[in-house]
Amino acid sequence: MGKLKASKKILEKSTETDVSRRRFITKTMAGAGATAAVFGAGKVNAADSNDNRPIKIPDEFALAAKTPPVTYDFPMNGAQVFARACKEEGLAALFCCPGNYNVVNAIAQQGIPTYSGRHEGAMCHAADAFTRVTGEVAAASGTEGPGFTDMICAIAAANAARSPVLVLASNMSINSEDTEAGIQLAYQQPTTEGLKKYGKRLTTPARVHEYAAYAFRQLRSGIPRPVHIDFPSEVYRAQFKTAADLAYYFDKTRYRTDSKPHPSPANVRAAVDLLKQAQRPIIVSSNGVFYARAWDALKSLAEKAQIPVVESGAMKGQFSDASPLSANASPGALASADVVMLVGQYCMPTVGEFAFGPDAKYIRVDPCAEDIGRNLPIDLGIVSCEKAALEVLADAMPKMNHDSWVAEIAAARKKFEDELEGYYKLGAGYADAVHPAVIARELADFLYRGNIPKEQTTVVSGGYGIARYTRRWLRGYRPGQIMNGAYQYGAIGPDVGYAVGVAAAVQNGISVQGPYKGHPVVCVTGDAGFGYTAMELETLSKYRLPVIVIVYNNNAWGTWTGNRNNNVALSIHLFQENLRYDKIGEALGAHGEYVTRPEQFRPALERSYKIAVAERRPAVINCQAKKEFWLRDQYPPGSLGKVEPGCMSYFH
Amino acid sequence: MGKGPLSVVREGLQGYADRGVFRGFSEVKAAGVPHAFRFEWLTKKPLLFCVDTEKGVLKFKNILPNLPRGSPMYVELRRFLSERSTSDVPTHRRIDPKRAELTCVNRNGNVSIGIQVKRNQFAYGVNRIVNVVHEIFVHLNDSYADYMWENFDLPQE
Repeated sequence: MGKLKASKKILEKSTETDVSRRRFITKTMAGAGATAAVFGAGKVNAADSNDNRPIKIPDEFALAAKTPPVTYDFPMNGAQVFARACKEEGLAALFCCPGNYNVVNAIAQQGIPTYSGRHEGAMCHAADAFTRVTGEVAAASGTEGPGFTDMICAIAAANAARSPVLVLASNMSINSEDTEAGIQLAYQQPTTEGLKKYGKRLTTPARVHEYAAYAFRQLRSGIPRPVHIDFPSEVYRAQFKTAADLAYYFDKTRYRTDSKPHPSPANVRAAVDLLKQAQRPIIVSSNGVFYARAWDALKSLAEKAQIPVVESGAMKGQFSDASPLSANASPGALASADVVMLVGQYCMPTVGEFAFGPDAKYIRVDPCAEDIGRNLPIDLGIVSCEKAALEVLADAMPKMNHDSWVAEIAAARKKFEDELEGYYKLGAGYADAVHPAVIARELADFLYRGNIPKEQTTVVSGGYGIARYTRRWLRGYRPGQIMNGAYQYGAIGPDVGYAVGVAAAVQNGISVQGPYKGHPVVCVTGDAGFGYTAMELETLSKYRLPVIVIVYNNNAWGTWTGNRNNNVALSIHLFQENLRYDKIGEALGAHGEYVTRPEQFRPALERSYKIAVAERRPAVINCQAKKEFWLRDQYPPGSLGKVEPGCMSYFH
Repeated sequence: MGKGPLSVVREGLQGYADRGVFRGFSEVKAAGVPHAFRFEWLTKKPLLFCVDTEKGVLKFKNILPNLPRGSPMYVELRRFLSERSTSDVPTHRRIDPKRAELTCVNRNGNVSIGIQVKRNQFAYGVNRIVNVVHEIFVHLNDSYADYMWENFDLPQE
């Protein structure tokens, strides 16, 4: 009896303090070009009775926004020397949790947009996503042992995606090495073995600037991947009165070069010969085209020689899907290609993983010779910066006509889209829950065929089962429009963390996100993935990052179907049913929608978008589905696969 | 004096091996067929390519396991193969019925897919059956991912 009373009391208390939907009354904060802190000073009104306390952004955020950035000069400590190098190298953002204070503070105080979240892993995912939609270097930071190891999955994902993420972590002191004195000491560098391009525990304070140079030389050359630097206190606390106290201290023009490899004339002639002889040539545009900012050269070559383009990689949109030469949504035509030119395909498929036929010849353009020929045998390898190669080839290729091939691409696109329409009609017919085809099609209609320009919205394309549908409908019309969440590493769960990074890029109008500065972002995820990083809704809300998070809630991990005939194992793959992820969003300052029928999705999306625009508040649209939608015999078309490259690709 | 049919077939297959399309390519003995080749391609599961030049048959034996005769997937496969000779398929991917015909045999759920070569068109036959099997696997990865996970140990993620 006593227990019951206590439970009731707890329930009542819970109800009293439960956060109902509140409206943020803050005006849209000034322009997305400002640093993250500008978005502070938000308030939530206390509209409810019962002393229901409002969610409020602390006044300190506004204060931070008003504080002018500092410029470091001697005398400096080790953290400031490193932070100054980051500033001079154009580090575009920092995502962190508290910890590694000296370095983080020194970076933030220089005015580099800095975001602090709820989990170092999510923040590292945010840094990865930021680079994938801007092409700029972003940093992630965590504290000593636990904060650092929290980032491991994200470092691995960034490594697989070939993202230039600068991973920073404090790491106790050299003096106490091996002693376990205090807490949190860990050997960090061996932990990231195989997950990075370069890493170093700094041990000689006077070389701190030299190792900043090592880091950025690696981040800004060749094939990008994470760089991991760990800082013992002797380094970040070291004092340097003048440049003479540092062993190496000179400008970036002296410690690295922006020079890029160009294709040899013989390689260009061979490529032109192959492409001229081809009846059905195709270009695969991947990461390297994005990082080399080679989209204009790609367009020039494709249009001059009338060569279709299909995309793969960790981000999409380098070649507009509005072009008749886009083969992203023409999976049925890929097997017809006779010459395939892979440009900047850093993560290579093996034979059979791409849909090109067994007779296709391959040209591969890559800035690093070491990787050319790996996995997929080549007919011609070209060591070159992607932009240089595409520019030279655009000049060297004659104007060509491949009308019948382009018509085949168009016919395959039509067939694919007709198939999607069939899926949508089936999905819309399942009236008691929201089918993934409904979400995918309605979202695409809203983004590309509604009232907003089709190139405007940057999308975090995440999720597992839901992504097998949404990828088919999502399109890229400009560079950096789609962040391909699960690319290569296939992590389930980073999506809301990714959304922080993408929204930060859009909020600040960094790089190719400049023209779309401040616009709402859309994030697609599943209920399993949402569980990992959902607390970052608080980060989104705190920084006024207007992301609409669409959660496909089918009460299960996507893996349940493979275990459906095992009575014991099946429960491993299931959650409680009908969970209210929208209320988690509301409790953390977001707008929440719970959608249980197909016709409710579009209005919920429109309401969320309006709130995102007007109040700069994130939203969670909790789409109640059912796990049986993956069963083809009960709910056709069931779970779907993929064809790569193109709109569905995420392995390579 | 032209090459014999077996040499033509061997050369055609060897060409794919030389270009790195097939891996672990070798000529092997197999029960019930005059000639056979084994290699890996498309998945990690080795494939057995059987050749009977007398009958003009080239066949990927038991290439698709666990596919009941009456299953929707098998019905779709049969339809896909029958359409390979129609004008719905681009010319460069079409099977010319004057030169060859596709075959499909289901024994206890194990499906063999082959091509019946006409008029000694063995080079054509090798090229077409290899391309058709490639297209089948592209389609299976797209529409029957669960079948591929369960039967070819492809990653479920």
